[in-house]
Amino acid sequence: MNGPITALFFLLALIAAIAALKVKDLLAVAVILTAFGFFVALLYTALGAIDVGFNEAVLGAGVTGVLFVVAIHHTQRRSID
Amino acid sequence: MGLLLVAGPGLPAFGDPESAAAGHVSAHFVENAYLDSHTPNIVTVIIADYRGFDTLGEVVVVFVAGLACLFLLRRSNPQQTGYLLRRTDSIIVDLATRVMTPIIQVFALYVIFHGHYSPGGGFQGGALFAGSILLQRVSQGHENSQHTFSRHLDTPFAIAGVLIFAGLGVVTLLAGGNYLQYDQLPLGLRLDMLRNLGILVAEVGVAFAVVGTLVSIFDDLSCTGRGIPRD
Repeated sequence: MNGPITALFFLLALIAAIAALKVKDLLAVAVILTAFGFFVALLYTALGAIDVGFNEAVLGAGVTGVLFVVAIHHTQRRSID
Repeated sequence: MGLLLVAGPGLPAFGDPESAAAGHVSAHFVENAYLDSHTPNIVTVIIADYRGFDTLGEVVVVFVAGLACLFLLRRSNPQQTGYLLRRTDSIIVDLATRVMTPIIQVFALYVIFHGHYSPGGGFQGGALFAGSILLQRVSQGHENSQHTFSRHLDTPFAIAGVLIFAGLGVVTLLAGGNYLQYDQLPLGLRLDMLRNLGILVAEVGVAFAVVGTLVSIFDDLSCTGRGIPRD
């Protein structure tokens, strides 16, 4: 696909990654990482790798978000650093 | 480590159109994939037929990851430690997940079996199916969702997936060909339809393994009952 759309998805993924580092509430971070996975899936699809984009959307934007939430329930909800 | 440093610069440049993989091998795959296996989706043909051995290794790695989580995390008796997840109190969430779950599952089966013709295949469809089971666990609670998919089924599903894929190779060995050479399957079909069928069985094995491992990891993580701690 064309350059500007790919650059937009890169920018969105970058913003989501920086937000995931800055936010203190870890449950919100799990949701932001889910959004990051979705932007990366769009990026893969824009670059032409549709199967990889499908995989990233299902696993990165679905399953690992749920696993993060369960892992946070075992530790604490407030980030230490 | 030293060998890696010495041999590393000898690899072709990243994205080099003159390299062996981009020159001869890709052209061979693109030209012959449909003729060899009667399957329009070239990606599925490559990962399940031409590079089927690598996909078998990947399925085994997924299974071993599930086993590692089992050894590290699994509690033997959730009745004693308690279930972490309770049934949701909200009618909206309850009804919405009950409507969505069969739709997700049918779509997951469609993705698995339609991987020959559209983007998809075993990994994607298996992960979707596991997602529907996780949805049941999270919304209906651990106890009620045992009727949908019991936690005793996790590891058998994963083992069944690995056995289906590896067993396919053994069947072709016994029929006289190489390991995972689908041409030699002892059914009376045309050669390219045999490879079509071999790819299908491989994808089903992958889907079983992915479902078993993902639900197993989730159950290992969430079957201890301390509840939600305060910040």
